[in-house]
Amino acid sequence: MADTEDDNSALASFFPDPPLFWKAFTPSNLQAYAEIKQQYASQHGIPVEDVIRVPDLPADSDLIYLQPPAEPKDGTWRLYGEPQSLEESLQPLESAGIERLGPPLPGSTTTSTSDTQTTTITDSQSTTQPTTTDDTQPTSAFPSQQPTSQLPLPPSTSTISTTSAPGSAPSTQIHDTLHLHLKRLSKSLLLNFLELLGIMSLDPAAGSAKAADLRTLFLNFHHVLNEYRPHQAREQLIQLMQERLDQTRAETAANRAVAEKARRVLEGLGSVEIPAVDSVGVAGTGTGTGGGDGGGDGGGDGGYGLPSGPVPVGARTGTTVGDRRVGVDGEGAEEEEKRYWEREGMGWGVLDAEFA
Amino acid sequence: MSDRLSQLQEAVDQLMEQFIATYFYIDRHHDLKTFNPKDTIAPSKADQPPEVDTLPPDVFQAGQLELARDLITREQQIEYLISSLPGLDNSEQDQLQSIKELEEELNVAEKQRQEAVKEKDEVLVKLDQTLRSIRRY
Repeated sequence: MADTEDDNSALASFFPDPPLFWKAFTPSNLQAYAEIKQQYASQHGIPVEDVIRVPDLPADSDLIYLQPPAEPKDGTWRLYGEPQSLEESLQPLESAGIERLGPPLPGSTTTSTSDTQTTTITDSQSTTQPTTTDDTQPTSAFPSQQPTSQLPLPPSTSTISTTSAPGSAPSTQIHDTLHLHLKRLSKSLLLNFLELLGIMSLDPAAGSAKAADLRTLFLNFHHVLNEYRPHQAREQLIQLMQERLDQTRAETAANRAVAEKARRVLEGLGSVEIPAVDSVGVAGTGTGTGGGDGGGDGGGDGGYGLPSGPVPVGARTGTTVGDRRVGVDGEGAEEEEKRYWEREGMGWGVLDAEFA
Repeated sequence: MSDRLSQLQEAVDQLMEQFIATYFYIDRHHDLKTFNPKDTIAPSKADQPPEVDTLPPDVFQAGQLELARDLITREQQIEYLISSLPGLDNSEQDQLQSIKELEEELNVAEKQRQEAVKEKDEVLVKLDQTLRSIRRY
């Protein structure tokens, strides 16, 4: 009864039902799975957070639903009918059924089918001769190219033949070749477009071959650039790290400069303020007892001023001492007060000068 | 701004679009010719849009010239981008080497930075104390 009811509701519901294994996520199952995971992690000495999958769970339990499925064994799967691969790599031109023009980039994911790469650099006026690597290439497809490697060369062309497996040639030459290759490709694009227009004006039916040539050229161009991307990525990383390094160093220098400045301020203060600091220390202990003494001293030898610590405090607050003190050293206290503000002014002046 | 490789690829794609635009411009606006004196150009049917929209020769010429100029400009852009591709003189080993060196330098610099920050903080604390004592006094 319950089953048929379920079936009916499945048919009638607007949204699809959740996957069947949703019932496996019970608290007890979650608990059990967490324990198994913990055990697995401690067995293999890795943190629990890094355990994505515990390999051999009992197949008949519901616990297998609690973890993601295993990776496909052959590294490929299908998604919406499209084959997907675990390894993201650049598909070689040859495997996509596109003719490769020019030498493959060293260190790229593509592998050369021929052992010998012959690079021909021409100085002739026609700059639209892309490098040819393969004399099996149909020459009719690219009238602007000729398989120069096998032909006697006109005297105006100089040939640099590098017979090399990829990567064994000097790097600068490889990159020069890449530059040249890209420029040739781009010029070939223009020339082939011109030819396409010419052909279409004379015999529109023959134009499709030329359009296919253009397509090949464009695809080759993009492919060469994509092959170049890892190099570019590394280059960019280097640049970023360099910037970061400069930034860090600048920050260090700035910090040191500020610290140095502050230290100079401290030294400057030290030469002025150390007595003041001392007098504060004395004042803390001596206010109560030394009131009369200090008052007498301050009045007597006003020229020194500083040693009589208690006086300023006493004079300023005026609370700790009795009538006698106030009556005796009214003048001395005033003097002290004045000197105090002078000192204070000097200290702040030093500070201002340092921070200006 | 994207990196130069992407710029280059975009420029190439734009070149392709320009090819197509140019092609259709010429296809659409060319004039009709007769092969021999007996041929006649059939008048276009009234209920169908005309196949070609022939422009006056001077306008057509000017349009071609403009499109051709644009193509050449784009081509020059592409070549400029090609020649400005970064790091063409470094091999992969060089790059990895310099990445490693930079990493070490970065570590050292980071340590120095932290020391400097610490030093600064200490001095600041000292300065702060001094200032406070002055004020209290």
